[in-house]
Amino acid sequence: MSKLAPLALVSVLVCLASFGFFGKTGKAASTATPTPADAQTQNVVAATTAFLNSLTTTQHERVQFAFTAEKTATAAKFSRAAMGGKQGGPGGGGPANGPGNDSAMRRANPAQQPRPRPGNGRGTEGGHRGGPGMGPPGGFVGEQYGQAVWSNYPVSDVPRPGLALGNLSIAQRDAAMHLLQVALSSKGYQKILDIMGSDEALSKTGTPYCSGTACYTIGIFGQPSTTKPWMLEFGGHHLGLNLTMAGEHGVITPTLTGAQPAVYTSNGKTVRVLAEENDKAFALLNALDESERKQAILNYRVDDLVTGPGHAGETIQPEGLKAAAMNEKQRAMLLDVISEWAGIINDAYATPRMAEIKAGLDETYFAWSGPTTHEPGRNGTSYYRIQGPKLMIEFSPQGVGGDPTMHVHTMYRDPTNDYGRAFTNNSN
Amino acid sequence: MKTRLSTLIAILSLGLPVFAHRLDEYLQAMIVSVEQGRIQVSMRLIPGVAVSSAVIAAVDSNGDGAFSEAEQQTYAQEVLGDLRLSVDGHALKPRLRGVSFPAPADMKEGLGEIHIEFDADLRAGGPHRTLVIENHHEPRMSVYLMNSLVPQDPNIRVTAQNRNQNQSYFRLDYAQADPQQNSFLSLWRSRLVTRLAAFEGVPSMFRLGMRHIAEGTDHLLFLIALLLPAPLLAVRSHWAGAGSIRQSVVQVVRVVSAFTIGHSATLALGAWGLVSLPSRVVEVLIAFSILVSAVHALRPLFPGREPAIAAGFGLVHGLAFATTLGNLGVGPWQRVASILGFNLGIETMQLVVVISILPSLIILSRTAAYTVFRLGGALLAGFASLGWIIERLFGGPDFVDGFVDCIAQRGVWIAISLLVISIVLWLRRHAQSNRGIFSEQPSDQTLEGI
Repeated sequence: MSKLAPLALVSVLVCLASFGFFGKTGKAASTATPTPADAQTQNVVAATTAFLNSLTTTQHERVQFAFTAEKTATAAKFSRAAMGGKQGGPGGGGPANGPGNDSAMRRANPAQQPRPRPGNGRGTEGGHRGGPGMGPPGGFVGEQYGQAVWSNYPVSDVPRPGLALGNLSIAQRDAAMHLLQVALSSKGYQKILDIMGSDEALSKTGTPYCSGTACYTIGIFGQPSTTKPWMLEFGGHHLGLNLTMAGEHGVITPTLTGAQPAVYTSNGKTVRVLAEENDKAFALLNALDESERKQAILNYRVDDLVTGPGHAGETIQPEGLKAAAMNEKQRAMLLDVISEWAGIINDAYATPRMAEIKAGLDETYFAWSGPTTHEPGRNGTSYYRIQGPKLMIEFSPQGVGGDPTMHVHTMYRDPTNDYGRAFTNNSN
Repeated sequence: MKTRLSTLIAILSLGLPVFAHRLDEYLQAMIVSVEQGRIQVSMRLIPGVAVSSAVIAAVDSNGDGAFSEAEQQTYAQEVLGDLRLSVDGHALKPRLRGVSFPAPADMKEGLGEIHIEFDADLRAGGPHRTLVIENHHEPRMSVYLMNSLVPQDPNIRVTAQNRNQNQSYFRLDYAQADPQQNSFLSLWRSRLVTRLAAFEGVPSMFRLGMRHIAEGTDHLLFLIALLLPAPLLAVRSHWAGAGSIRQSVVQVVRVVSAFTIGHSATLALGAWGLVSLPSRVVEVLIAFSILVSAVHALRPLFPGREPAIAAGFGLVHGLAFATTLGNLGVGPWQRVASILGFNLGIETMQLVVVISILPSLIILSRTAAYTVFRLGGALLAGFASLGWIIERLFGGPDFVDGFVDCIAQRGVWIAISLLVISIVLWLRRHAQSNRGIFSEQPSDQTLEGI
C-alpha cells in the first residue's frame, strides 16, 4: 500500500485536474484525516483512473456508464409494489423514463457527471424492463442495478456492460488486472484468477458459448471518486463481482463466484477452485457435536442457489444452527468460512465488514444439506448457507447433468447493503 | 498441451457433455411472503436444455413457435392448478397476478425463466397458523425450491419450517402476535386496501362486498340481532306477539334500508378521505352496537325508533373501512367506483340474508318457540359482542372470532334448518289450534314475552 501511495497521489491529482474538480475536492482531501480505508479508496481511484486513461476515446465510452443509486436493488423480477404492497407506491412507472434519460446521461460529459438520484432509480432499467409493474421479460437470467448487470450465465447469453478483456491491448488488460489487484486482497485476487482459469479451461474444451478469460468484462459506473459513490463491475461466466465505492467504504455485495471445472491443471499445477470455501465448511461441520449437527443439517435437498441473481433485497426465513449456540472455537471457524467471501475485498474494507459480521454472529445461522464428508482434493456435493442479519452466503454444488463436485455456484450478499445502498442512498 | 489434456480428462470425467447451466431438470423456485390475511408467492420456472422442448410444447399449445398472451395465461393457470395451498387445513385459491415468459428460442437454450406471481386470501384465524404449499407441477423432471421471506409485518413470526426431501412439500408454521391485528375487521381492511390499490374494477369489488357479508360474522350477527324483534310489536317494555306480516316486512325493510344509508354515507366520506377515526375506537363501537341491538332484542329499548338507530349504527359500521381508505394511490373517482361496487355487494348480500331468514322469523314469530329463539339469539349476540368489546379494548384472547366463525360457516345450513323447524312448529301449532276452538286469529296471547 505504502509503495503505491506516491503513485496514487500523482494519479489522483492528474485525474482531478483533468476533470476540473481540482479546487473543490482538493480542499476536502487536505482537511480530512486519512484513515486506512481513505488511503485505500485513493489507491482504487488511482488505479481505476489509470485504467481509464489507458483506453481510447471509443473504448472509454463503452466502458463507463452513469452510476445510479437505486432505492432498492431491482432485478430481473416483478415489482412487489405493483402487487399491492404498501411500500414503494405504484411500481409500474419504470420503462417510460428509463432509456431516454439515462442513456443520454451515459457519460457524454464527465464534468457533468450526474449525482446519484435515489428517488428516480426505478426508471433506469432501459430496454430490459417489461410491461407495467413487471420485471424484464422472463428470458433475463441476471440481476440489474442501474446499468450494471451480472449473472451466473455466460457472457454471450447475458451480456455484461463494459469492455471484454479480449478487446483490450496487453497494456490495457494489465491496467484492468492491476485495478483488481489494488481493489481486492491478495487472496481475493488469487481467487478471481483461479475462477478465470477454470472458465478458461472450460472454454478450451470448446464450449458453444463465451466462457474464457477473453469474455471477462469490466465496467465502470459513475466517476471514480474518493468521496462520491461509484461502482466497478467485473465478471464473466462464473464471476459477478460488484464493487461499490463510497468514500471510505468499499462494498462487494452482491458477488457471485463459481467454478467449472472446480479442479483443473494450469502449467502443470493442479488448481482446485473455491477449495477453502468447501474445506473450511466441512471442517466446521465436523467440529460440531451430534446435537448441533442435527440442528445444522436440513432434512431436504437444496439443488440451487436460493438468493442467486434476481433475488436482491429478499431475506428468507433463516434455518439451521444458530452461532449463539456454538462454542468459541466453532464461532471462530464460522468466521473463517465467512472470510472467504468477506475477505475478497482489500483488507481496509474487509476489516470493518468482518467486525460488522462478528457483531451479528449470535443471530447468524449455519445450515447444511447433503453428505457430511467429501473426497480429499475435491469439493463436496453438499450445499450450505450462512445467514446473518447483514449476511447471506450460499455454496451450491451444481448437479446439472454432471458431477456436482466439479461445478459450484456461490452467492455472497448483504441484505441491508447490497450495492452499498446503505452508503449511497442516504442523500435523499 | 499437457494442461489442456488434463483439463479434458477432468472434464470428460463428468461423463456428460459440458454445459454451464441447467441441463436435464426443470427448476421451480418459489418464494412466499406471508401477510395479514394474504400470501404472495413469486415463482421462477427454469427449464434446462434437455427438458425445455417439453416445456415449450406445453406452453405453445398451437405450436406456432411463439408464446401468445393467452398461452402464457393458460400455462400459468395450469401451474397454479398443480399447486395445493392451504392454511389451517382450509384450501386456498391462488389468484394469478402476473406472468412473464422468455422468448421460446432462449428457453430452448436453457436460458429462459418463466415468472409467475400470485396471491391468495387467508381467512381470519387464531394466533397459531399453518401454511402448506405443495407443488405437483411436472414432478418427473423437476427440482423444487420453496422458501419463505422473513415476514415484513412484525406481528407475524415464523415458528417452524418443514419440507419433504425434494421440497415439493413445504409447511410453514407461524404465529400472529397481536390478536388485534388478527381481527376480522383488520383482515378485511387490508383486503379492501389491497384491492383498491390494484383497482380491479367494480365487479370484483362487488363480489368482495358480497363475500364480506357472507364471511362477516359481526355484520351478520348485528343484522340478525336487529331483525330478531322486527316481526314483533312492543307493548310498554315488553315484546308482545307478532304484528301482521305486512307490518313485519315493512319494519324489516325500513331497518335494513336505514342501516344501508348510514353505512354508505360513511364509506363514501371515507373514500373521499373526509372521515377518519382510530380503528380500535370504531371496532369497539361496532361491538357496542351489536350489544345494544342484542339488549333491544331482549327488551325493547327504543321501540318504533329502530330505523333511526339502525341508521346511526350504519354510520359506525361504515367507519370501519372509512378509516383506511383515505390515502390510497388510486384516483378519487376510481376509489368511489370501487367503494360503490363494494357497497352494492354488501347490500345485495344483506338482502339475500334478510330474504333467506325473514320468512322463518315471521313464521316462527307466530309460534310459542319464538320467545326461546329470540332470547337465545339475543343472548348469543350479546355475549359475543361483550367478548369482542373486551378483546378489542384489552387485546384478550380471540376465542369469540373462532366461535362465531364456526357458526357463521354453517350459515346456509342454519338458515335452512331454521326454515324447516319454523314450518314444522307452525304446522304443529296450526294442527293443535284446529283440533281446539276454530279461531281465525293466531292466539297471540300465548306469545307474550318477558
